[in-house]
Amino acid sequence: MDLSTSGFALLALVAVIVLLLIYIAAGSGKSKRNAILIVGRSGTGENKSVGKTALLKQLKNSEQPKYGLLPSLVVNSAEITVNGKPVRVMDVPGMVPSLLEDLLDRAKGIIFMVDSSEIRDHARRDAEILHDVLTQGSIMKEKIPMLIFCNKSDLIASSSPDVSLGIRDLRREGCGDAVKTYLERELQLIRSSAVNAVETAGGTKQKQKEFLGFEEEVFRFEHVPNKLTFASGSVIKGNIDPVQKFMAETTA
Amino acid sequence: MIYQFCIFDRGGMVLWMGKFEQLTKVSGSPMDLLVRSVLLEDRAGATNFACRDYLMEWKFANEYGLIFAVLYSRIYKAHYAGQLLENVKTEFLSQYGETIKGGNYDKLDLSPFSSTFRIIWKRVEAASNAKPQEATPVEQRKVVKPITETPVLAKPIGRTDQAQPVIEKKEQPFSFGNDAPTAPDAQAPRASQKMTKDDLLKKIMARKNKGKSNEPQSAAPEAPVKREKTKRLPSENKSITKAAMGALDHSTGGAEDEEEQQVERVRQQFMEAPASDYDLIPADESELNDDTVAEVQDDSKVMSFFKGLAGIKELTKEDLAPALQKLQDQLVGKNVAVNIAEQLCNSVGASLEGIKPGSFSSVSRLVRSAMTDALTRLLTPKQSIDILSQAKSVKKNEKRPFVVVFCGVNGVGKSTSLAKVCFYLQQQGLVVHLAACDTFRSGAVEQLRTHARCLKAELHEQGYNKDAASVAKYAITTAAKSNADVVLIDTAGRMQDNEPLMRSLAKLISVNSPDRIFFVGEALVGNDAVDQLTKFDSAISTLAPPQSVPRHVDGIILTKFDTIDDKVGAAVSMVYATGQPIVFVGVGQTYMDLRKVNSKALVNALLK
Ligand SMILES: Nc1nc2c(ncn2[C@@H]2O[C@H](COP(=O)(O)OP(=O)(O)OP(=O)(O)O)[C@@H](O)[C@H]2O)c(=O)[nH]1
Ligand SMILES: [Mg+2]
Repeated sequence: MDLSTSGFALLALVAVIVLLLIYIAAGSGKSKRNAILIVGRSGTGENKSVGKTALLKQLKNSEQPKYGLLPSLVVNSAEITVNGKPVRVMDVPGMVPSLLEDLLDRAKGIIFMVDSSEIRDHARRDAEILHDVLTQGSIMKEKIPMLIFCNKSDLIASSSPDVSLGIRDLRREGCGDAVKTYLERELQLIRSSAVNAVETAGGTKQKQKEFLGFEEEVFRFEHVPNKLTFASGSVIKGNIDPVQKFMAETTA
Repeated sequence: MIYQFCIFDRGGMVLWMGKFEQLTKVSGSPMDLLVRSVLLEDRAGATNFACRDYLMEWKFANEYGLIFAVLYSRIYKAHYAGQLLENVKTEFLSQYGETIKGGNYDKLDLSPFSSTFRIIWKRVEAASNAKPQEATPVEQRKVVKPITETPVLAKPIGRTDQAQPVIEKKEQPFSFGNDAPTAPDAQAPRASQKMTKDDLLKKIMARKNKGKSNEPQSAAPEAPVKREKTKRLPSENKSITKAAMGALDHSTGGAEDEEEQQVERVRQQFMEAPASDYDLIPADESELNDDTVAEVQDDSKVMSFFKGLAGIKELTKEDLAPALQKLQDQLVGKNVAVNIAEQLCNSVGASLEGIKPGSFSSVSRLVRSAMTDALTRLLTPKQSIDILSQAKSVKKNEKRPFVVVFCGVNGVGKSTSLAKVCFYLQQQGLVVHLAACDTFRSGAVEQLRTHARCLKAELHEQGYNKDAASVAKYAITTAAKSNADVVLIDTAGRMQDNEPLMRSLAKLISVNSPDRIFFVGEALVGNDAVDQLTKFDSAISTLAPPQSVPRHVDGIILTKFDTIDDKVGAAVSMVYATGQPIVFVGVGQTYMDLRKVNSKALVNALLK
């Protein structure tokens, strides 16, 4: 046995051990909440997505990809350093909702993104996803903190005041408040039909869904046990301070 | 003429893009559409994609997680597009492949690639111009075989099983929301789309049912065909599958007390009989759960390091073929339409080619896991299917009833499904009105009246031989006045090839602009499912009166789901054919037997 083969054998041994460690880490990672998820709807071809991947790239590189973005087909994941500590951040593609369910178990914090310039037209879809996020798994039970980040504030500021009522509302009330009102209204409708939904064939093993809020009262975000923060900003303009603040709080 | 060339990763980042001509008349970006409607929905087995006046082609570099795509004019076709993709891919990977495998390429400055691209482009273009065939217009062009080392990419119209070097096997071009690439007449896009779709379907039908009649029959073989009932419309097939429904037919012109008896009988059957305890038993889910891990585009270099170390060779088409064939047979065995099973497998194959399998995974495991992902993606609704809250929202915000049209071929259980949905919505406290717009089949109105009485729902009817569109219009107006929450519209069953009837359905829809159009189909149908659904879908938009807003089927109800055991393939075929979700399945005879489906359970049933 010459030096190179024994070197290789050693390397292989190390590789096997490391692989084993990774395997164990991944196995126990099922129950371990170690990632911050970026969640939100995708666009439909005519209108644009909320900007999840844009946010992740901004966090990672402090700039936007030179040639732009297309809809994501897979989860984007990156390690971001917050206060000297590395945090895994995952951007869940809006077009592949089937991925969300499993990833929610890994969330120690959730950044839920909406496009505040189009909240009026898309509040329903936004609210549906938000409802899924809150009621699936143990997000509410474990009080996973959530930031509702109202992106694209740049588009609101630049639009002329008479464009549409929705935009004027947003400017007067501040993104957070208007978005909150729209989402509350839709969530009220969604949760009542969610409890009364028809049974699901083959759903016996489906994760139990929680009821959102209090049954006797009209839904308010205050009824959610989690710490919810509403904030607005613009990924494109690099204005993501609320996100950084949220990540710092969550990892602390 | 090339408009755009784009290199992007599966996470959605564009690494490099060249724009060469101004795009006109495109809302949204065509590349965006390509990702959403081809790559995401696993139609990547097709070779090109049409979007208005443009065609797109693409190529995967799976080991690098990259996709190369080119957009060019349909009229001034870039026949060399496939070759261009190939050459650019090779050159790009040789320059940047290693860096990209390393994972951290976000900040890689790729602007220098622009000049490299121009050189490759000019070279490929020159090589293709050297051949006289290129001057011929698209329509008249014959299939050109690759000659030199820079073969001309010919786009055969139809299938060719001939293996072409370099270029991937060419399949039927796939078109979405617009006319097919080979259509000669750009002025009438919808019509020509229909034509090519039909051609495609005919071809499939011909191939699969060689001995059988060309006219698709939707009724189950055991269903009684009632010819004597056809007096109103001789060409219509009057099959009614449920004995109860058959019994209802006889109520035409029956005396009052006889009608009472009918109501009583139906009440017993639909309300008092024990509800089905149907459940689709999911197999062990443990295998499904670890799949997400494979979907993560991780920036860590660990995995690629070990893959490199293991020195495993990249998967080729040949490596994948046996496993894919096996999987395709299995899907067909579960009643997935043959051409769709094939397309799905092609797409999954395309997404795996060039990948180095991890040391512990066999090819067949890899293929199955990729298919699991693909099917889960496909069957998980991308938009909400919760009609209850949608109905409430419309009522609350727009102060009008929520309108749903039920359509489908004869005897699939349209009226029964409608009654079930009515019951469900009533249970949630909504006021539901029914509209009897099946003004063709004798007995249809009475059948619905009986359901309405059982359910204590208001029925709007005007007897037979009336214009269905205006019956519906009147029903909606009246229901709105009496403050109803929902109007469910029953329409006549019709064969998908009966143009006059399809035209009248299109009219009903365009006149009344319903909130939802549900297609009701049987879970038993196999290859025919796609034909029915695609023809209904295209008829609704193409046969509508001019200037009306184009509509599509936007939800599917599958009936008789309890009778198919684990052969749930029709669900896949139908969702794949339209991209629309399964809203409900019917699992028995009573009003309670309405269910949603769990996509994971479906996938399990398909792949177990
Ligand atoms: N004007 C403006 N545009 C933005 C902003 N943030 C993101 N965008 C744009 O929105 C588009 C969609 O962004 P993506 O990050 O790809 O969206 P996504 O949420 O990841 O979408 P999916 O991957 O399909 O779920 C891109 O063109 C972004 O450049 C913003 O703050 N302002
Ligand atoms: Mg994205």
